[in-house]
Amino acid sequence: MKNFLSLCIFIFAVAGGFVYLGNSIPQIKQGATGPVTITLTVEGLTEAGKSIFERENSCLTCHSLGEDPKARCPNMIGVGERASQRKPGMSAAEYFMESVYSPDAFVVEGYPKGQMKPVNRPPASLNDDEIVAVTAYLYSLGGNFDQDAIQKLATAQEKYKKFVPTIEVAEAEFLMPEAYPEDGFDVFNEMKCWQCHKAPGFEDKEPEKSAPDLHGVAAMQDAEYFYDSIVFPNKVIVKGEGYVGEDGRSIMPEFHDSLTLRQLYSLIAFLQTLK
Amino acid sequence: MRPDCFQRKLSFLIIIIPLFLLFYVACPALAQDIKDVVKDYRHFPLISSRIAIWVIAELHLMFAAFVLAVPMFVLITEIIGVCTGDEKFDRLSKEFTKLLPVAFSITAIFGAILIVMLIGLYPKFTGYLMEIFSGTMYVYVFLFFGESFTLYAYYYTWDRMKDSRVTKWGHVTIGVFLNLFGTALMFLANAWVCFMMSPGGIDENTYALTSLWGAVHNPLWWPINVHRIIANVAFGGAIAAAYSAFKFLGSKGPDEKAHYDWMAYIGNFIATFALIPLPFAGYYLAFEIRKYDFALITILMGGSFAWLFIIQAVLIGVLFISTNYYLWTGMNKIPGAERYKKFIIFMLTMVFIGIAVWMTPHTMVASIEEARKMGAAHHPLLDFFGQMPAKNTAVNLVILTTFLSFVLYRRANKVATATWRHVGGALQIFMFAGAAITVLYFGISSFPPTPKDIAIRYSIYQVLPVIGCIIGVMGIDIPLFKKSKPLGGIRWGEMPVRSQYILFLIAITFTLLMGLMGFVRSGIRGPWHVYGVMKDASEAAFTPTLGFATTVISIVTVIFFGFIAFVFWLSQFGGTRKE
Repeated sequence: MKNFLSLCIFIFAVAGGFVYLGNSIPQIKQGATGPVTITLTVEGLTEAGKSIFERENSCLTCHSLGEDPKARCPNMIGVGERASQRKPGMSAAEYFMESVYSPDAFVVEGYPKGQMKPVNRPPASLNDDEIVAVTAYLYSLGGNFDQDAIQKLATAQEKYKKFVPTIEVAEAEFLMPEAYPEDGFDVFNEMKCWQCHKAPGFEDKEPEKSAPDLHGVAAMQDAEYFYDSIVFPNKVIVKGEGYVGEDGRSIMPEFHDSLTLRQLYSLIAFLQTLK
Repeated sequence: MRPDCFQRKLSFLIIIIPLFLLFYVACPALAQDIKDVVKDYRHFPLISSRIAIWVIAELHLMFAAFVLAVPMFVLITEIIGVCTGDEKFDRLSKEFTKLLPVAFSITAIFGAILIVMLIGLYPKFTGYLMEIFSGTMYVYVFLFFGESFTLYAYYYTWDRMKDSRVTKWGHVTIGVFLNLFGTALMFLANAWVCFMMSPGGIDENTYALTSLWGAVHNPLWWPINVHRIIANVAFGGAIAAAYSAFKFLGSKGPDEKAHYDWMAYIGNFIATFALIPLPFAGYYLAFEIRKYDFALITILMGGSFAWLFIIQAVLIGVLFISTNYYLWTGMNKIPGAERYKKFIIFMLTMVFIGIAVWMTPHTMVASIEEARKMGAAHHPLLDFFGQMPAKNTAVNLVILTTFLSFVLYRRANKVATATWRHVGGALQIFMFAGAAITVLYFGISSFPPTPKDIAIRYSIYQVLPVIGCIIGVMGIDIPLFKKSKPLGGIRWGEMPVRSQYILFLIAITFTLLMGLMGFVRSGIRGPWHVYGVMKDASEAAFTPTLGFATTVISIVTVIFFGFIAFVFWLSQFGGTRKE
């Protein structure tokens, strides 16, 4: 019994020592990174980009801001100036976008390939806006980053954005069913679209879930886009808090087999009136 | 309740658990209903779902490691007993086997609790894993039955099959099947765990299953399999040595003490034997993680987990120092060992320096005042020794030193009489020196400005000569001392009490290390249930501090040893009255 008690005390002492050791080192709680507020100004973008660049387990884990021979990836100080000279015929904005979306396309001499993953993939998983912010910050490190550069970055990013599908036009002649916005209004009401979307005529309804506000949507989108959004809501997902579920897919159900053609086109006709 | 009655009840549970699994996988409609109607997450009262799953999974894993490892070395010692005709090995094997039935039952119970809790607390995530791996569940159930039947057959037929050589080999065959079933079971469970880190066999866009084999044979499956097999052997050996130490401390007479001292030596020998290649297996795993996704390895080694590796270094340091200390203490009972005692101080110094370098933090940034005094942000020594080339060099030299300790212990009471003994001895010294010099050379050459990719290649050049030295030296040592002249018998049982506590320290440290490395393996995924596929959207989608993690791991370790004490206590009722 004495031996047993001594061993119990010994086990507790060793485990206690381990806890002490674990609590003696710097305590870092790594949270899931929340969305970064981004404003489309020079200051707003660089500030947001800096916070993304410097947050835990992000760019600064490998890159350095200053000469550091032990850094795994290149020093970023002055990269805004160097970027336009890295690849002949490639502007700074194009180089930045290629570097973050396709890091192995050009690797600085002395560093191995395969060290960096595209930043829109895990673990960084940055969205398109966050990527603009990060590249804006890099641009500002020694480069002349101004309003014009924002536009250049946005243009350079276009080709890396997800492919936006369009509806293929059938070769055979197809007659559109007659569609009336009034009927579409009724379909909108019957299908309870107002449970998630705000729309003209449904101001008294309080949406229960988050989905894009449809006021003025027809000024920005066309009928094909509406068709896609209703039938295949995952083809293009508008970014916004609560718009997607945990699986990364749109919270909107697919209506490809629950609407008649007339209902579908009436609904699209209604949406086209929301200018 | 009588212990054998208790064992029967546990056996009943073992039958029920696979049936429950079979029912679950064979009832897709039920799975579909669950997926459709329940929430993504449920809350576990008081301690949260994450902690509840953490504790149960950890306990399940620790017992699983034990019931996989013990049959491995029991089989080895049984075969040695059959081949040499030494009855001592057979008794040792049977005594360790007595621990298995209860430990196996406890493992199964924790496994069942884990499944129920996963379905209840993480239904959506579990549903997804079930969708991917439902095909493997049938195999799992089959393997589970196979392991249960062979384990109980192995234990209960021990005496009955002992009488003739033919039946004894038949018994060994049952042991072989027990190990095959157990290892296959572990491989299958590893596939599920590794899929969460490096998913494969699924569609890039829909994440639906495209190839079950691809999901099983995901990029980290084999590295984890290799690492866990070796680690399990080391862990099982350490727990068996702790069992022997426990019995040694309670022994009444010198015979009993001698028996348990010898058993502890065998257990510790197996643990040490597996401990030496374990860092290489860990390196292989890290190398494959790096190959799969470089970002994961930077989070692991260069991000906030970097501090965890300082704790790991401390624990591994404790293991190496304790293992060496046990061997050096054991030399006191071996006539002739005094010839080698003069080397102990040098080996001790080497191990301490190596461990000190290994636990040097790379990222310890000085305060402004300290930096002003030193003229740099890092202390020049800490900065130098905190880098990977220094650590790789240190760990390889510590492994070589521990191996040297083992070689000296092994030959302590022997004098080689072979005609080629001088040549053999010189070759062994040459191998040790050659390996040490190569390790140092490539270690120094790996520092900046050597490019990173070349430095990584050099680290492999450091590992290979160490492995070569171990194989080469043992290849010479075994025939060299086969017909040696003994300098006296080993005085088994003449071990100080503190050496038995060292064995417990090794077992506890192994357990803490398993918990710690499990935490980091799981933690590098970040806020993902399945990396890059299914995001963790629960309120616990964060990685806790290392202080919190070490507290949870310590609690689990204490609970585990509480259960182990129960297993040790119950096993003494398993034998016949005569025994």
